[in-house]
Amino acid sequence: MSSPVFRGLVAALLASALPALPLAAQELRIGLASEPSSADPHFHNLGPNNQLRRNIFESLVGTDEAQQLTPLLAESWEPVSDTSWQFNLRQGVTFSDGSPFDAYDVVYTVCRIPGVPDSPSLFTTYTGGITGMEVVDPHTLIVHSAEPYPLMPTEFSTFGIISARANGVDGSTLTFSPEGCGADMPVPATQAFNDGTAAIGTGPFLLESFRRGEGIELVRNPDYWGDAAPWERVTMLPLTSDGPRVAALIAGDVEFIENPPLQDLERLRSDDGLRVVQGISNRVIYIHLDHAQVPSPMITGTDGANPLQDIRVREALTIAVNRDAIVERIMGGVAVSAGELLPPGMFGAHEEGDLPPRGFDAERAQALLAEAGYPDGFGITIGTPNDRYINDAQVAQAVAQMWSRIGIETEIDASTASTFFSRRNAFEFSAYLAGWGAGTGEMSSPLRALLATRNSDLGLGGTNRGQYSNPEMDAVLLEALRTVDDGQREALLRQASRMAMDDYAIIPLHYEVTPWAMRASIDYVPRADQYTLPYLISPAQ
Amino acid sequence: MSTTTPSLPEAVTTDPNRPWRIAARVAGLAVAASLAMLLSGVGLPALASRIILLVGLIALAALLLRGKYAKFFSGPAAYAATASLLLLVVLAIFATELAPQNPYDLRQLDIMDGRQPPGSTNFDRSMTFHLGTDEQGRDILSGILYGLRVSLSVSIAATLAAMAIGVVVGIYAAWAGGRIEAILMRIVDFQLSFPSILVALMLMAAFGRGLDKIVIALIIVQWAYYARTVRGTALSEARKEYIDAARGLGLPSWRIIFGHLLPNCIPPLIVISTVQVANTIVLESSLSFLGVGVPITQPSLGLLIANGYGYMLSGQYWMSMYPGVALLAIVASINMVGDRLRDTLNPRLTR
Repeated sequence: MSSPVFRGLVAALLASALPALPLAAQELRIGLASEPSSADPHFHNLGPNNQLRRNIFESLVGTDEAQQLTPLLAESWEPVSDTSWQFNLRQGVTFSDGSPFDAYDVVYTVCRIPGVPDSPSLFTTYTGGITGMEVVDPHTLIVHSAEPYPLMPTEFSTFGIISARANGVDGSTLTFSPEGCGADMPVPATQAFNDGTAAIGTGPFLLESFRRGEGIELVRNPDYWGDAAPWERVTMLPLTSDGPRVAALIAGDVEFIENPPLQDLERLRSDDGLRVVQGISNRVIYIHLDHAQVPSPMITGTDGANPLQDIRVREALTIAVNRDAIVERIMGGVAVSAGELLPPGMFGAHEEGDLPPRGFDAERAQALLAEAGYPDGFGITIGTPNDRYINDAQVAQAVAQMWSRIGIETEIDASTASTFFSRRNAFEFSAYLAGWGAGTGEMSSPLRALLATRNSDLGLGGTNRGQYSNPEMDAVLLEALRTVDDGQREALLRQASRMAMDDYAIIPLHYEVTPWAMRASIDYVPRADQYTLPYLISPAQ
Repeated sequence: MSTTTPSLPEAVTTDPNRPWRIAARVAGLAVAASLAMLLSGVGLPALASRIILLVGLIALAALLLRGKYAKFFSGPAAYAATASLLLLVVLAIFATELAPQNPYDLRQLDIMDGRQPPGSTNFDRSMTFHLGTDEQGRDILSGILYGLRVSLSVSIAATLAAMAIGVVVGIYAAWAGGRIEAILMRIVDFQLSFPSILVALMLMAAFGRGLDKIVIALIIVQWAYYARTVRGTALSEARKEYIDAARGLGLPSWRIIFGHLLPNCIPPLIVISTVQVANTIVLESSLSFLGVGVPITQPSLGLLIANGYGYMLSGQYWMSMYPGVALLAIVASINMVGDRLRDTLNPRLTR
């Protein structure tokens, strides 16, 4: 009865988009799906903050759309001993206040990072391994670590460099030490970045204003050392609800939006005035299983045994899932079935087809269950967040359908992310759905966090809330973490990944694909790190 | 003279209302017994229990309106609302028998049937989705039938329990008076000063999901309405002569309260609880819509609407719209029936 009414409404909505004004010259308005909490590059290690940071404060090492390392403020880097890396810095770069960029600014930055007051999540994750910094000359920096540290260049891609001189520090007087560089070193307050006074970087844009909840304005840096940004002015508006964000794009209030909801992609694609691009992300959605607790919470019908400790049961659960069906029906085709924890093409992942997603085979799954002594199945509950990943609770529900069909009575316990993660961290689930984005873009990230035997001293298994432990895989992984040679390290990481997958340690479901939508007159190359970087958005030809 | 002024026991035995009271008691017992059988799964087969439940409910409603039918059915709207409420209640009670699919049994769902428009069939053409499917391949019609049952039973259970608590607190406050009354009524004021959706949201965030938890949360946000209403009615009733007479007879307090005071406070309670059932359905749906209510594998109307809501802009209207229509129908018919009940039972409106 209301289908024509609804179509009428849609038509009216589309019609309202027609008189949208043409793009003002070199101005870009972006609808953000999530808002940065601060303009301070070292305040909060959070996706939206790091995305904003890259426009204003550059790091030594850059990353391209596949998260491979590229030169940025450092033109090159190489290991000079087992435990030290040399960075050769770019000459002739100036900060936006005119002061020149040199190695002392890097030392100053690393000195500031641990001491940011009230920081919800510090960048010491990346700088904690640095034991010494040696300024050979103003454009040559040697960084020391206690252990072999193959990921050092990757770590230097994660934080932006701020100016020592602009903050009244003569960098040559600084001596770096892991315990601190002297309590009297003046550092800018987070508020000074937010109001713009301390927002002095080397990036392609300058911060004009940062107002939480209202928007962020960037203007082109006229003295940028590289190719000038294609936009004179960029306005980023926080439009955190999906519907209004899409409506703003259609109505012409913004030219570019992040994360259009999957269910609207079809309609956006069919609109000639709009363009949708999408790219595979570094985030895998997985189901982790409880390998350790006996009896395992919320498992019924097994007389107290933990069936997940039996590899046949884990295999059955893995092959009972029809990944392609989930990708097609729940994810609207905007995802890629996963065979391991990092998509092909990224460092340490297998080549396409070398470790394909496990095929769907319900009959074999039932046979395996019977073989393992559970011909009638058992009861299990999947814990899942319902507001963290794309269609997370729906994916969990689809898996529950598939498990139910092989005789495992599956229930879903869905809650908001904060509740879910605190319960998960208390080991309250036998099976839980979550996602892992490989921030460093290589296989060591998910293996270290999700599958290495839990060991807080070594920083291993921090998110291994299934308490999986495989000493043989640990050995290969630790070997890889110590190996500086890229070729060898990649081979070791692949070996470790295959060991874990052959043991059905975890059930990878799919890699998320990140979509962006924009007016047809502009273009963007999708990025695995899911960042929206205005200086890479190209205007009409 | 004994014929004109009968002694007390005789008055009871010749009470013309006695057969009706017995009938009401029987109907009430039948409803309670059939509910117990349905919930526990023992006793009569489910279908028989459901029929007893329906007949009992109709009998209770008929007895409540005995002698006032003409007043209740004052116009076509009253007939329409009653018929639609009756229909929805029948649908909810017999959902298991009527629904083409059990939408809560994951084995019967197939995501390959997801997001099919109304009138499409499943893979082997064994089933037609008259109102379409949601993204899990759940038949919307079956979902609505089961969702109606969840929404109705959760709200009726919560309303009855809240009423019981509210009545005890309110009548005790009115009877005790003084400081106890002041304290109890300030608690009620405090409770009523918060929007119920806010309190319910916080409670659900603390409890987690589940039907039992949502009932408890709804009871906590609702009892205060009854306490306040009952206290008001009880205060005015307590001043009347029959209470003085009962006291004069030397009856114990509890007997005066429950035997004399309470029965006379019931008509306004019935009206409030009818309207309150509708409000509770809306509250439960809102909570489920916001993702803190029923478990996602057992959607109520609110959760069905929430599941389909994201697809509205893309033109797949049926996932949200039909459950929305069902919610609208049940709330509107309960409210209209409640209105008629108020006009019928409220002695002040008697001309």
